[in-house]
Parts: sequence; structure tokens; C-alpha cells
Amino acid sequence: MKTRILIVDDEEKFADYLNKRLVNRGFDVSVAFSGEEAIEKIKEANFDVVILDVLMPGIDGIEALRAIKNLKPLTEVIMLTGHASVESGVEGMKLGAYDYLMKPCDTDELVSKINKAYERKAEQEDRIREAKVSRILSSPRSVLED
Amino acid sequence: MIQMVFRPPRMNYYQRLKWNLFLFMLMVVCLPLPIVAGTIYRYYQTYVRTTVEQNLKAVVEKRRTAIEVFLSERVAYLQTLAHIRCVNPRSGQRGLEYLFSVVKPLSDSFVDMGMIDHRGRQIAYVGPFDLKGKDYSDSLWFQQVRKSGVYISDVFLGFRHIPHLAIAVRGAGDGPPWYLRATINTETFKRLISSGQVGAIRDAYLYKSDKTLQLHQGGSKPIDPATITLPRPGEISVGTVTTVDGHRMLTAVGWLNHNRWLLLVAEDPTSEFVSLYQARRVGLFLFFIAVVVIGAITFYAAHWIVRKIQVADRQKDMIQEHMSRTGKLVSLGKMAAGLAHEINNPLAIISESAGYAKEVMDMAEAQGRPLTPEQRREIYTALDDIIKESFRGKDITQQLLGFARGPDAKIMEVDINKLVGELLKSYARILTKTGKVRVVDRFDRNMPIIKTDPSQLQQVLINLIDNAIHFTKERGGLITLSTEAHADHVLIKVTDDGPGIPENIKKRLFDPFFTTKPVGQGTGLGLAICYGIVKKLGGEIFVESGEEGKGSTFTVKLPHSPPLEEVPS
Repeated sequence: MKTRILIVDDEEKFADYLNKRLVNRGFDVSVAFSGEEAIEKIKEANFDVVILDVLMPGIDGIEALRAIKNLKPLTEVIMLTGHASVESGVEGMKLGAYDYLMKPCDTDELVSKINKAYERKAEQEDRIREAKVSRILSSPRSVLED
Repeated sequence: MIQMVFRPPRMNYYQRLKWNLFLFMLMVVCLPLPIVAGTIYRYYQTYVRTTVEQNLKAVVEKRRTAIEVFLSERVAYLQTLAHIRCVNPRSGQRGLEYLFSVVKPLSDSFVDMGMIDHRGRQIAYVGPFDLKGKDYSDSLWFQQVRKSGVYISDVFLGFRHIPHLAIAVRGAGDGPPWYLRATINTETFKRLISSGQVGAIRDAYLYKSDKTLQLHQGGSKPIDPATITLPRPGEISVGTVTTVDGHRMLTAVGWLNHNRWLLLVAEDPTSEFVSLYQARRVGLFLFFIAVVVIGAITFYAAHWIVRKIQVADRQKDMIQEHMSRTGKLVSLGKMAAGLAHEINNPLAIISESAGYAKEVMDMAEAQGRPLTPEQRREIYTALDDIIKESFRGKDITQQLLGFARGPDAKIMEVDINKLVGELLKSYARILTKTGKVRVVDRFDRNMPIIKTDPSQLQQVLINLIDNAIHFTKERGGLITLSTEAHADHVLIKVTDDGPGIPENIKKRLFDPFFTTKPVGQGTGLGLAICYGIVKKLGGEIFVESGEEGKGSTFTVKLPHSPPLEEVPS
């Protein structure tokens, strides 16, 4: 199954080119041009990794990150910042982002981070599955509780 | 006076300050001098005058007594003679001659002597004139002596034109009354009048009660009788009189001889007031010296103070400039952070589109066939985007250069609306992205072109907008930038709908290093620098703030052109 990616950036051209390049690398990519749009899309569909721009008008990256972690805690988020400072990236990681990258970014680096993020997500999902299985094994009645 | 003489043709601020200070201090220091000197002089004058008057009074008193004594002695003398047995109308000429021969060597004041019978006829006479047999029955003196027994005449000029005085007494005996009459030489009299002459030059005058002059001893001109004030009987009065040639004299006047005569002693005031005039001269000289010395000290003090002020002003200017430079760097730093993001965006697009184009070509190469028309179009689009985004980056860097211009004031013609508009575009848009602040403009279409320093004005506005954003971003506020044209000035207003400014903070708002932001976030210099810059541009900056939560408005008021002369240096 392809890794599902959501790119969120108000710079439409940037989002478009990144979209194309990631598609070329075999990802399943969606695009949102604002924080609001991104949240809507996340509500509707599941994504493995969200690439999120920090500085956007309206709902900015940090706020969007909060919303995403609220809606889908397992979805991994990679922050993209145009700011020549690491502050916003660090702030994002405190809020649960997987990593951050500074614009303009190296595509190979981005791809490797996407893959690592996806692996972490997959691992976590596995662990949750295992935990559920063991719980069901120890107490079969718990299936009914889900 | 002095200030007129020393005024240089053209003075700058400090020279003017120095002169003002100098004259003021000189006045303050020198003003009491004439008052003190004048008072002392006044008291001294009174003292001298009183002393002179007392002296004059004493002189009159003494001479009056001397004359009275002299006269009563003469009368007593004559009365004694008139009671000697051998002198009587019967002894006649012979007796009188004998008597005169005895008296003459003893007292040279008797000039002649005569014996008059009860009918007024002179029956005997001894003296230099031939007056024997002369009839005095109608004479005033004869009537007087017949009535009261003693008569003293006024001073009169005798036949020799020498002032004389006649004394008559009633003789003794059993027969019909007779009278002894003697003429007294006034030389003795004159001596008495001018007796007790000490030091000062004094003139003595003897008047009849109707102010006719009888005797004058001394070198001065006669006195105008109209100016003499008569003292009360028996008393001595002090005053001034005027001589016929208009010279003022100090006088003491006293009655004598049963209020029939006036003794007047006059004195030239200059002779007595010499010491006073001397004191006045010395005083004036000392005053002049004092003014010169004080003037020199004051001048030096003013010079010193103004120098200190000048140094302080220069330091203040340096600090102001330093602060301005610091503020410039601070706002530049803020700008840089915002602009870095703006530059990185086009760079990211460039990098992505270039990367994409490369990938398309790589793919074609890997498949070993030429590019399809669709792939070529993709590559061209990517290249166009690269060019477009490069220019976008260039625009942003140029805006940054605009802010980084030097701190030196450059006055030029500025379209305020354009300047504010550009500022909005380049700066406010970036900052509002960080928060949820909206910025709107409300420009006066009739804004004139004014002369001011655009770089510094920009700095002021950046600070104001920055503050507005800081205080409104939490609640997603609205900032309004408006311009207004007026007859002799323009207004630029930055209004926010933030929490407003409490009254106690409003007062200190423009103080350097005053800040409400947390430690490390604000320097407290922003508004102080704004204040300094706007003042330097000849304008004003003020803040209006309603109740809490009603927002606040910062207004920059600028003249159409800055003042010609900047802060003196």
C-alpha cells in the first residue's frame, strides 16, 4: 500500500511541484492550500504523513498541528518552515510533530524523513494491534467494549 | 548700556544663552548694590546735615548770648556812669569830658558821649563831631528813653559811614530828668557776630525785625530777604536761604535784643558736605569697580555654565543618535526575520520546480527516448516559474535594502500615502501572517507632498505598527492606518482595537527603557526613539486611548517641511 501524504502550504506552486515530485516517487499525495482545508481533509480521510507549512494566513501551522494531533493522534506530521530560525520547528516537535525541515528543502532528505515517519507510524500501529490482541487474549470480553 | 555695547552682530543659540545668563546674573548680583549704597548714603547725608544744622544752631546761640551780654554790659556801664555824682546837667560839658577821658582808655567801644536834658537838647557832647546843642526832642530814641529809661538803637551808618549803635539811659539826680547817650563802635560788634569761627566758612548777618540788613560779616553775597523764614520768638530755626545770585545756603536764624534783631549765620553747604561728596565719589568708584569685578566673574560663570550645557547637550545628542541607531538595528532585525521567510518561499518554489524539471529529464533519459511534447511543456513551465520566483525574491531583497539605509537624515520630498502604502505591502503583510491581525488603510486622497526624511519616518511607523500588532494579535485585532491633510501639517494615525493604554502608563509611554513587554522581548526604546525622530523632524507624536479595551491611536503630526535649523550643536 502506498504511503498517503497530505501537503499543506499556502504557496500553491510549491505545493504543486512537491506534489508532482512525490507522486513520481510513488506516494499517494493530496494537497491543501490552507490550515482549514487541511483539517477538513484529515477529518474526511486518513493520511500517514502530513507535510505542514508553519507560516500561513488564517489557521497557521502550529494550530493546524494541534488540530491534527487531536483528530488523528497517530498521523505523523513533518513541519516545513520558511523562517530562518529553528524556533517554530522546535515548538512543533514539542507539540508532537515528527520532525521539521527548513525551506527550501532537499527532496531526498524529505523523502527519507517521510519514510521514517511512516515506519514509526506503522510500528506504533503494530504495537497498538499487539496490545489489543493480548488484551483480547487475556480477556475476550473486552472485544465487546470496542 | 553695557548690553548694548557688547552685543555681537549674530549669535547662535549658545551665545544667546550665555549673554542672557550673564545679564541676568549680573542684574541679580548688582541690583542690591545701589540699593544698599543709596540707603547708607541717605543715612550718612542725614547725619551730616543734622550735624551741620546743630553746629549752626550752636553758633547762633553762642553769638546771640555774646551780643546780649555785650549790650547789657554797655547799658549797665552807661547806667553806672549816669549815677556818678559828679556827672549831672550842672557839671555840663566839663563833667562829661572828664568822664569820657576816664572811660575811653578802658573801653574803646565808646565813640562819643552826649548829655541831653529833659527837653531833648544836647547840653554836653564829647566826641569827634560837633553835636553840642543839637535838639533831639522829636527823635524816636528820645521818646523811647523818656518812656522806658533805656534805649538801644538799631545799627546805623554814622557821619563817617561806619556802622554805629547808640545806647541811651536816664541819668540820676533830684532835678529834672536828663539822659546820657553813647555811640558804640560796631567793630567790637562785628567781632562778636563772627566769633567762634571754627573750620567752615560762615557768614553772619544781623537784621532788623523787618528783615532790613544791619550788619554783614563775611565774604558771601547778600541774602535775598524773602527767603528768610522767621523763627518763633526766642527760638532758633534752621533752614536754607538763597543769596541774591541764587546760591543756596544753610542757615540758622535766631532772635535777640528783645526780638528786635535777627542773627543769621549762613554756610555754604558744599564746605560742610565735602566729606559727604567725598564719600559719594568713593562710593561710586567702588561701585564701578565692583560692577567690573562682578561682571568679569559673572561672565566667566556664564561661560562655564553654558560650556557645561553644551557638553551635556552634545552627549544627549550622541545618546539620542545611539538610541536611534540601536532602534534601527532592532527594527531591522525584526524585518530580517520576516523577510527571511519571504525570501525562502520563492527559493523553495525555485528549488522544487528545478528539481521537478530535472526529474522529468532524468526519467526520459532513463527510458532512452526523447522528451515527449508534454514533458517539454512541463519543463518550460518549471523554468518560467523559476524566473518568476527569482524576480519575486529580488523585489523582497530590494525592500530590505530600503530599510537598511544609513541613519543620517536625508530630507526629501515624500508622498506620505505612497510611503505608508509601501510599508503596508512589505512589512505589515508579513507580520500579520504570524498572527491574525488585519491591517486596513484609510488614506486622505489630497495628501500634499511634504519634505521629510522617509527612512526615519518609516522607522517610526514600523515601531508603531509593531506595537499595535503586539497588543492586538492575541485577539485577532484590526489595525487601521490613516492619513489626514491639514493646512500646515499632515497626520499619520495608527489605530488598533487592542486593550488600550492605562492612564498611569500613558504618561511614561515615551520614556526611554520603559516597556510593558516581558523581560527580553522589548527594549523600551521603540517609542522613545519615535519621539526623538518625530521631534527632530519638527513634528509631534501623541497617543489617544479610550477606556480599557477600546484600543488606542498613535498620531504622528508632521510639518510640511522640517525646521531649517536642527538642534544646535
